[in-house]
Amino acid sequence: MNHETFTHDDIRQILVERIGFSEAELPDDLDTTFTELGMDSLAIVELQLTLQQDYGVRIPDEDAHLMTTPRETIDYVNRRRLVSEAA
Amino acid sequence: MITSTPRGGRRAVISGVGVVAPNGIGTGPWWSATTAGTSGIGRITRFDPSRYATRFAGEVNAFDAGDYVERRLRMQTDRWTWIGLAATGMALDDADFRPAEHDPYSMSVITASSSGGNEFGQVEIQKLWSKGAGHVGAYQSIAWFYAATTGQISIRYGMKGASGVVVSEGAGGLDALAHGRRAVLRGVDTVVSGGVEAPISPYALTCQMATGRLSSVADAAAYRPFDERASGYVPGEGGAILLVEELDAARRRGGPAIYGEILGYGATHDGHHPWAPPPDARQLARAIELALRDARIDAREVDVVFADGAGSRPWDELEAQALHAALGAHAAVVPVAVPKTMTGRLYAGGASLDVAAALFSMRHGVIPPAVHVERPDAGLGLDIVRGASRAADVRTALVVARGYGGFNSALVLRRTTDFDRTNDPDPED
Repeated sequence: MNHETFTHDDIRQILVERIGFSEAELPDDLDTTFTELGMDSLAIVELQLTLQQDYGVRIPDEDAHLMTTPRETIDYVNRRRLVSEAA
Repeated sequence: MITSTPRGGRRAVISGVGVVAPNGIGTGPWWSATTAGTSGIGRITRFDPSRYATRFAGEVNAFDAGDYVERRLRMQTDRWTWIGLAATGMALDDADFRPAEHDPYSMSVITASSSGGNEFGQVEIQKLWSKGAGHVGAYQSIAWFYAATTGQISIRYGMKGASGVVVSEGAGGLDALAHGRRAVLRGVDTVVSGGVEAPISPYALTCQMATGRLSSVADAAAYRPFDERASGYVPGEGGAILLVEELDAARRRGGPAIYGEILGYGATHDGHHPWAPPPDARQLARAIELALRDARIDAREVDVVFADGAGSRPWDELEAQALHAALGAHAAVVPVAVPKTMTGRLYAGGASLDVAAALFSMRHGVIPPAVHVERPDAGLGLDIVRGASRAADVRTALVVARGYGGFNSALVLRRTTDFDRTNDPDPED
């Protein structure tokens, strides 16, 4: 498991490698919503599956809607990791 | 059986053809290769086939999905859908049909598929057994299933008319066109139809080998339908997507060509066994008879038969018997074409590619040869076009197809210039 901070670069890497964006398609800001980027619900599920499998974060179904932007996703992942490390 | 539909003066014609075949991508390269007798069958390159009994196939090795499908969509879809999207784009371009200029509900998508997204599914199954259920990607849910290609075509081009997918294996390429024709006769103006398949992956090949009907002869000439040495068939990938339009709508639109009319169709089922041959040719003969009756033509009007050509003895004999039963004395003299000897059997893609070949035979006055059929079984009493292409005035073509499970279908096509010479554009334009 990777215990380093989950960063903007990490989520960009997922969006390129798992969702299929090119680097040029991704804005620099962290607040453009995934929907605005053209991602549908399946793409968001794919993103969250990747977070769970590659970054060791457990995402309960009721939390799925909490990550609508890259910033919210980064914050969520880092917060969950703190919780799980403290536990 | 889908015949006797209310027609109300509406007629279904084919105005665009898109081909992705082992012996050519695009109608120009494919037709040149097909009439020259150039086969696309070779040793499998997509994976190491050395441990499989069947090691030869018709692969579309020159196909680069990046030329046709953007990366994000490629990650959500199987090679089979990439081929379908590519062929659809070619068919629309061929017809100069611009979907954005039409009512979304006037356009339908009805394609055939017999095995869905094989390679995508195999990769996800491998993740399942090697890493666990949580590693199966979200896109498996939409990539593997039979309607995926129809759905992605519909989404890409905004085609929202009645749509669907037909799953009847080798007969599917005709059945989809028949459903497309029915949609046109019932009021839809335009249907993207036909079929493609991408069955060359280890998992898919293993499924096919279980039927016992594939050739295990390790030779690019293994597939020899109607030949004394018939040893089974070789599989292949690709197919054809065709644009079906209502005749008057096509004329009003003024596209570059109307290739021909879907004049008649008949379908039956053997009701016998999933893959063993039926006891007699009665149902296949009946499908042909129904198609001729639906087309309101006499058997003697058929200028060429594009045969199913299973490539193994009992099946080839059954097809010959069906042709003799349905066409009478004409069966012994009508030219029989088997261009799929150059591609292998493409499952849902095969019969629609035969329809494309029939339309091009009409247009160019030439019937392509069957390759590798050097010793046709004289006992079958058929005139197989082989060795070299044959010049012929083809007005009316009969396409015959069978699918695993007992599906029998037949389609009659009529050259456009012969049902109305005064109003149609010159097909050579």
